[in-house]
Formats: sequence, C-alpha cells, structure tokens
Amino acid sequence: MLSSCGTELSKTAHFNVDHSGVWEDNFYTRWDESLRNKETEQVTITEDENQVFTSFYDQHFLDLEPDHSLTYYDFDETSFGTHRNLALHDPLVNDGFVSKLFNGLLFCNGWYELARVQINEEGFSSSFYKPIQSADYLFLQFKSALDFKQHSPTAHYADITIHISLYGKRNVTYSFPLVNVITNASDGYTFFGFSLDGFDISGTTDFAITYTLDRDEYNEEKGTNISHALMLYEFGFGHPTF
Amino acid sequence: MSINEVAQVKRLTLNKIMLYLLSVAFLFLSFLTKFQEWVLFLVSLTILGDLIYLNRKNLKNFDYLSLFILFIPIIGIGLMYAFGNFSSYYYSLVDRIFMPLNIISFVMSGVVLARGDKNLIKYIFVGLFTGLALICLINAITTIVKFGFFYTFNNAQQYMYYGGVISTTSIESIAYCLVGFRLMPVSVLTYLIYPCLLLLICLFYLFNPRRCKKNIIYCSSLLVVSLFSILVVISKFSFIVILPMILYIIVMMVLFIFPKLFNRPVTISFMVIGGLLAVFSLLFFLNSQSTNTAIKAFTSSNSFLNLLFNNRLARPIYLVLDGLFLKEKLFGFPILYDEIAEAQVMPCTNFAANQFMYMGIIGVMFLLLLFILFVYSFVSLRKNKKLDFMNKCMPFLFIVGTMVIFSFMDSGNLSIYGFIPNISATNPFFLFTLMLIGLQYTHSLGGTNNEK
Repeated sequence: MLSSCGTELSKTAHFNVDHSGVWEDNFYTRWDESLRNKETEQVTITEDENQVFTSFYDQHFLDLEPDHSLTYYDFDETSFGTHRNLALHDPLVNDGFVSKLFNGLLFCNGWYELARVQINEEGFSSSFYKPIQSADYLFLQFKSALDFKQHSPTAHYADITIHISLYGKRNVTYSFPLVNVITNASDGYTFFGFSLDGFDISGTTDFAITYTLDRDEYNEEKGTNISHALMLYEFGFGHPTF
Repeated sequence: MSINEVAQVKRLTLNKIMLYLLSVAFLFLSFLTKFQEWVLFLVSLTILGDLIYLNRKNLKNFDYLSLFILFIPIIGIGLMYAFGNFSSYYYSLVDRIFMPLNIISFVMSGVVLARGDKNLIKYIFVGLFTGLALICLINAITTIVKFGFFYTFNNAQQYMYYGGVISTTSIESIAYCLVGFRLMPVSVLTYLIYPCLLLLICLFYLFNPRRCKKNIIYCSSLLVVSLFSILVVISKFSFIVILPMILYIIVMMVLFIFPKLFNRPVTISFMVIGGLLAVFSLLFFLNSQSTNTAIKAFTSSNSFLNLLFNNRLARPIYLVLDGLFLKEKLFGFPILYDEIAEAQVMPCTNFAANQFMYMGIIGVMFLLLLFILFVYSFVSLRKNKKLDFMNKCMPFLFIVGTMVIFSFMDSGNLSIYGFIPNISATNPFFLFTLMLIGLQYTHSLGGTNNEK
C-alpha cells in the first residue's frame, strides 16, 4: 500500500497555468517515465489513404463524421465539443490537468486556461482509464504560437510534424507533416485528425502528443529563435467503443 | 432468573444494541445523505422514537410547558434556515422542509435523553464517537493513498484539476473526505473538523478518572485515530487553524487536573473573558460596515488594534457582514442577505458570520436567544448538587469547544473547484450540539433520572 500512495499526484500540475504570465513557466511536460523511452511502431499517415483532415469543413471529416448538424464554434447543446468530448464516455478523464483536453472546449473564447494545454516539442503523456477498443477517427484541435512577449503577434506560417502515440496492447506513433500551419493568429485554429480505419487501437490505455517544428516562417525570416508552442485545446475520438 | 426476567433482560439488551447501531447509522447517513434531508429526518425520528419507547415511563410526569421557552428560538432558527434566501437558492423545497423538522427532532432527542435512564446516554454517545472515529480513519487513509505521506510539505504548490477547472487552492490546503456517497477532495478545514471534534471528545473521557479506567482502550483508540488524522495534513496552515482548539484543550486539561480551580476564580475569569469577547464582537461587527468610517479609523489607529481587527483572517468575514445594517436594507429584514448569488460572497470560516448569510439578522437574533438560554441553563445546573460532573459540565464544555472550533473552522464550501454549500442546518455536528443543548436545558429544569 505504501508504494501505491500519491495516486493523485500524477494528475496535478506544479503551477497555476497562465496565472504566472511567464511563457516558459506554462509548458506542460509531464511524462509517465515508463512511456518516455518506450519503443513504438512508427506509422506515417498519408492524406488520402488515411483521410487526413485539417479543418472542420474538410470533405474527409464530413465523410468520417456522419452528424453534420454539429456546429463548430459555439459550446452549446449543438456543438461538436459538447457531443464528442471524451469525458462523456470516460468521466475519469475529468481528473487532472489534462482534463482540459476532454472538456469539449475547442476554443479560447474567454475560456483561456480552462481550455488549453501548452506544450513544447518534448510533449507530454497521459492516461485513459477505460481502455479504448475502437474508434472511427481521432481529432486534435490546436493553435501554433510563438512567445508573444518577444515579438508582436504577427500571423505567419509554420511547418509542423505532429506525433500522436497510443500505448496499450500495441505501441504506435502516428506522424503527419502539416505544412503552412497558421501561427499566432487569434482565430487561427487547426482541426486535425485522420481515420482509424485499418488501425488496431484496441486496448489503448495511454497516449502521448509531441511534435517537431520543421520550419517557422517568422524565425526564419528574422533570424531569431523565439520559443514555439502548440496550444492544445481538445483531443478525442469519433464514436469510440470501450 | 425466571423465564420472564430473562426475556426482559434480552429485550433490554436488544434495545441497547439497536440504539447503538442507530447512532452509528445516524452519523454515517448524515454524511452519506448530504443533500437528502428527509433520509436524515427518518433516521433521527427513529432514534427519537426508540428513545421515547425505552423511556416511556419516565416521560409521563413531566412539565412540557417549561420547554416552551427553549423551542421559541429552535423553531425560529429552523424556519429561518428553511425559508431564507440562501437556502431557497441552493436547496430544493423537499430538503428545506425537513431542515426545521430535523432541528426539532434532535432537540427533542436531547430532552428525552435527559429524562431517560443515564445508561442509555452511554450507548448513543459511544455509537456516535465510534462512527466519527471511523469516518476520520476513512478520510485519513484516503488522503494518504491519494496524496502520499507528508504531501503538505513535499507537494505543497501543486494544483488539482477537474474538467479543466483548477482547484481554488494548492494541494497543501486540500484533503479527501467522505461527502455524500463520494470520497471527494475538500479543503483541509473541512477535513480537520472531524478529528478536532474527536480530540475534544477524547478529552472528556481521558480526564475523567472514573470513566477513563473503565474505557482506557477505547479512549486511547479514539485519541490515536484523531492524532493520526491531524498528522496526515499537518502543516503551518493546519496548525494555525487548530491552534485555538489546542489552547482550549490545554485550558480544559488544567481544569480537569485541578478541579478545585473550576470554582470562583474560573467563573470570574470566564465572565471577564466573556465580556471582553462581547465587546470585541460588537466592535468587529461595526468595523465590518464600510460606512462606519469613525470605527474604522479607531481600529486602524495603532498597530495592535490593526492586527486584531484588520488581519487576513478578518477580511472574508467582513465581506459577509458588510452591508447588513444599511438603512435601505431595513437592517437585514426580511430574513435575507439577499444578494448572495449576484455578489458571490463566499461563506467565511466563522460560524457566527456565516449565520448572517444563511438566515439573516432575525435568525441570528434567535441564535443569540438560544445561546443566552444555554448559558442560563448551565449556570442554574451548576447549582444542582445531585448531578455528577459529566452530566453537569460535559455538554457545556463540549458545546463551548465546538463554538471555539467553528469560530475558525466553519467550512461553508465543500468544493475546491467551485461552490457546494454546506450550511449549518445540514451539518450533523450542529444537530448534535442542539441535542446537547436540549439535554442540558432539560437537566436544568430538574427532576431527571440522572440525578444521584
């Protein structure tokens, strides 16, 4: 029993995010040490074969999500966030800092720190409490950002490779290179995802999200090295079974 | 023994066991049914019914009219809780109807207990204290499993999250408690109330020589459980919070060890302290009103007064009390502190100030009347030489102890993420205190079976 004490500590954060106002203090980098160096099968997603979408209105997403009455921008009874957040299926994901990714809030819209998790390329890992057996698709809503304090928030583009790892019966990292991701734009959200058809995700209990910044237009042009982050807003699965 | 006598003994034993189990059930159910007052009422009615049945012979010749004065403030308090604006906003009608019924039921239980066989009191109290110790143990073990040992030092500046919402305080101020049917994170204040009350109870067992010898193992177990529960969350914050209770216990220990002191010098000291506290409370209340600039100038005129009246603990209390006496609010009548929802003023940690919020100025007047009756009944009880020490002084000392605790540790909010109300009318210890007030008042009327 002694070794199992402190079960909630892994769900806490050492800071009160966004209340410090210091960019560098707000990165969430907690990793389950047993997962950090775990070898995973590398799978590179392709746009057509895996029906990748980068917008809520992409045809690939419209094909994967049959309920076209769900709205994108508002958090109300008709919104996508209200109907597809993971906490609806697994209430235990409400516990912890990463619960921000499962509460259905896809946008900043005054929600601020209620909605987002700020990560750097090191990323983070977290757990599901009910193993996922299958799902139609996977989605991730995020913004790309440079540290505002170091330069004026000029909208520009960046190239990012997203890596989403799922751990459980199989340990697989799905990667996809995204080019021209809008960065530092106040309404510049990216709704990314792909079909899970053909992938066996049964028994998935943990996940990790990291990324690689391949190119940032602003840093490249100005010759600067301003810190970059991904602001993650929501992560989930379409029609999961447990 | 004849067959009839054996049957009678068996029936009596069964009744005692049932009373014991009912008491434990009351304590657990009062926590488990946090938002279901009608279930609590069923349990309290069962206890009351059982007590009446067991004591039916003793209840026949009793002057019930003499209890009339006690029930004026009791019914008044019940009605103010039930129909005040605060309860109307946060509780359903079903819960609110049963609030005054619960209050009356517990006071009646105290009255019936006082008229009953003195041995029955033991079973009720042992049941309640055992239930309390079990709850302390559950809370302490859950907190250790969730946060680990010495988390108040090792992980002090971490925050919990639920559904993206951050906790209002860092985890050094959070512990796990049984609330309703859930083990949920609450403030350390809420958690500490139970072991502090248990510690207070241990005091009366351990320092009463006659009872201590018979129950040494039981008393020691209670003491160990309460100290263990407090140690789990020990930190600078929790130590400051329980400091008044520790000082109270030290004073009581001295009185128990040197009982001769509990006469004229102590009575005079209590009166002086009581007078000073009354003056302090009045000044404190007047200082809370933002329009009283003259009083505010006085209380901030030197560093000592400033520390006494304008410290960090006082500010949440001022927020609750401010505005009650503005003329346009008609001195807080009718009933309400009616801007709860809009103003979003949170209950503070002071019981008396929170009552202004829960039941308005009229409710507080009734509470003051109850307090006066309580002190008066103790003074007249002290003159009764037929009662033993425990029946004479224990209710008074315990109630004063809980007043000390709840002056600093009244937890009006059960949630660390938002606001879940925890008003006194739903608090099992408030109801137990009312039972003791009923017990003491009935003793003071004389002619009870507990006299030697």
